[in-house]
Amino acid sequence: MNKVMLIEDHTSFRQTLAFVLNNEPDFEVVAEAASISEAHSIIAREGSGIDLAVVDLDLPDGEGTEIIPVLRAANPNFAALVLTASLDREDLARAVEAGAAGILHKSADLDDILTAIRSVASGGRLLSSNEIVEMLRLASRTRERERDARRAADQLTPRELDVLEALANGLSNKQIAERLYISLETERTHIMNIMTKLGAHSRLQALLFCLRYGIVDLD
Amino acid sequence: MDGRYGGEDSREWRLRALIVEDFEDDALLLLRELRNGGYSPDFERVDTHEAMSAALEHRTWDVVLCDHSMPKFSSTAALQLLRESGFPDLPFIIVSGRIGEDAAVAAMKSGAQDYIMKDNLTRLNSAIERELREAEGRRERRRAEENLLRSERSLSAAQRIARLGNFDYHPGSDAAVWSDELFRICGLDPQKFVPTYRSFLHLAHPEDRGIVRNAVREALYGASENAVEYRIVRPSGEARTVQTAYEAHRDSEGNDIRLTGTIQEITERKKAEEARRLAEEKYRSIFENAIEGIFQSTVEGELVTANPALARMAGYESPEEMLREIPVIEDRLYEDPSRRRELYEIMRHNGSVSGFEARMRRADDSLMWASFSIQSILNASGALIGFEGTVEDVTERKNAEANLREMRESERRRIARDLHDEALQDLTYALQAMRVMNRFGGSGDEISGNGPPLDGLVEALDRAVGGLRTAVYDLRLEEDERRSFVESVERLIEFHSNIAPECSVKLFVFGDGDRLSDKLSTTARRDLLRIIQEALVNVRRHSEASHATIRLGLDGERVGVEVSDNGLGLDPRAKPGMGLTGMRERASALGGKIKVNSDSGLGTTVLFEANVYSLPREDHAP
Repeated sequence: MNKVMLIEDHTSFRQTLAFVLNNEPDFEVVAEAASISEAHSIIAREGSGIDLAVVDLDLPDGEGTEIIPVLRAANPNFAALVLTASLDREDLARAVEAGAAGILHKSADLDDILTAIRSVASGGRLLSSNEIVEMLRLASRTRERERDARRAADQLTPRELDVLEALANGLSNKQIAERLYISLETERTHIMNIMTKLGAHSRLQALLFCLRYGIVDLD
Repeated sequence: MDGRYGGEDSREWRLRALIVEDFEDDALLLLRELRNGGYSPDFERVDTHEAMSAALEHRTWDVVLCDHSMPKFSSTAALQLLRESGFPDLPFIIVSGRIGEDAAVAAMKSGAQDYIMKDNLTRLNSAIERELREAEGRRERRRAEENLLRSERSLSAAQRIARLGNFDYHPGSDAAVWSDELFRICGLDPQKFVPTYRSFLHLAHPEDRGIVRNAVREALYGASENAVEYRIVRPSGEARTVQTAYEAHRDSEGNDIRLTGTIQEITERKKAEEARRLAEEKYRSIFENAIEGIFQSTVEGELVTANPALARMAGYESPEEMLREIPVIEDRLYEDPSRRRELYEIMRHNGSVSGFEARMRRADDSLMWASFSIQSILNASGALIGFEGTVEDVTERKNAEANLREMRESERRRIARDLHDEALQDLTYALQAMRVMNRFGGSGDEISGNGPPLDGLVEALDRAVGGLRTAVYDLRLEEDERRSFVESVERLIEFHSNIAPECSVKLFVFGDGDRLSDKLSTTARRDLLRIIQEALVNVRRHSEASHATIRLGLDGERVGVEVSDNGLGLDPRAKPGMGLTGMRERASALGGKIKVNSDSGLGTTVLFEANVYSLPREDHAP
């Protein structure tokens, strides 16, 4: 009997999946989590007892893949299947890198899902080694780009971050200058420096860059 | 003529003599006398008007020897015939038996050169010799006079044609000699006008008299030549511009001075020069003050001419600096030199190009987008010798376009994310739930402990439909072209009311607002609708307003769109997200401006304004 954990924030979907698995003779859903933090606390309680996890990627407080190493640390025989609605190859690559034995789309047929879970539970892999290598390469490229972005962002001074944040708030040049008590000229210099550091050709591009890499927040 | 009587030289001199004489004996006497004198006479004797006329016509004569009175002829008639026949210089000597004093004087007066008595022929030869010599002199004088006359005539013609007169002025006596043309130039009658220093000075334009005074003074105090330009006023009041060039001639002591020179009328030339100068100035002014860059280059790509706008655009201090710093356009200016070669190929095939865009490198290595309109320069035989054209800095427009692309890209990403996070999750759930129900039968009550799953399904599908509708609306906004602009705005309002029924929206259309559809290209229309949509999203999400108003207006050239609400107003520390930034980017891509007025508690007003003619006219790819 494989002890299964479901990590999925869509409650109805999670319950449906649990129902299906519990109806199979070789599976028992022993834990359900709707977020990363909930998953952590459950693992802290009974981590070593989990053989298999079905993990969603997009969770309200992070990416489901970060749970995989934690579960593996608790149980060396642990295997994970990522069930996602995403088609983004970068997301999938990150999942492979985190140690997912298989990835499946959420809309897949129930029988396919069960077959996949069974195969993963018995130590199999759903991806060919070629696919895995490619995914790992893609993941490392993505990570590299993010590292570059992070490095670029690290060069930003606190004042420049203030300017960016004001920019994200939709303020005009003049309003930014007023809010930060600087001259328009200084504001323009800041923007120029930001654009140079981030390799952006416009204010907007600089802003989108920062939003993409979480350098400034919108909400 | 020397040696005619020289003893050593016994050679006889041939003399062609026309003898007008009725007595043959008298003629023979004359001939003998001539032979005695060393002449070898070649003669003909006539004694009538007709015979003499024929003789004059047929042969050339050195002398006419004529009897005074004959039965059918007379020396007076013969002399008259001779002069009328066009021989003014042919010597005419009367040889007569008896002639009265009065007749002799009358003959001499009417032009006979001499008279000889038949009974004293010894004077004949010396008279002939003298007359031949004098006739020769007369001929030469006449020739000289004719030459002089001819050259005077041609000088006068030349002066008339060149509108150039000459003068010779003697300051010592204040006397001047003027050519006819000079009088004509000044509009004066040579018979009435006496040229003196004073009278000429008076002729000069009052404002230019100083020039004339100075010129004369300089000549008197040392200048040997000079040229000045000034105006004269004719008696008719008409002003003419003249150019005077003169030389000063001094005697050996340097005291007595004469000024000779020319005065040429150059009024027309001055006018033409002035017109050319004005035209050049005008061209210069356009060239210097144009906002567009203007250039000329050789076929090989050497920059030949640049105006200040071009230099400024390219980041140089001056056109001179630009020409100095850029020997070859291709190497220095083009970010991608192959673009210049591409341009060259287009020019070679089409002869001109407009709106060719390329990235150029400025003096400080920064990059700019330039839009070129270029024409070929051909020489007289039609060969390509260079290019000329205008350059516009379109960096801002290009950046705005790029920003807009980024905006649209990020919008698409947002829509995709919304679909993924909500609609897709709900739909996959619904799908799997239905599969489960299908497999296990029944209503699926077993699936969940909390409530019938059918309710969850309905909820999920309802949410998914809502999400899809929003996404479809967002995506389709740009294709909604068959509607008028006002109708499209009404659809936006309807959509808003469906989502947020607690906030009512009213639309007012001002001026020619109904006709906005005619004025908006697809691009402009889309971006304007987006601005309104973003404003409504802000109203919905942040304002908590119960009422919002949209005003659309077209007043002459001004397009105005205003979205106002009675909500909370923007908290200066609140974060309205990308909405405002997006609106700003769109507004600037439309060539307009967004103004946001907000007071805490008094609502928010978003006003977009633009000039109709600055809206993007052509549709570019989104």
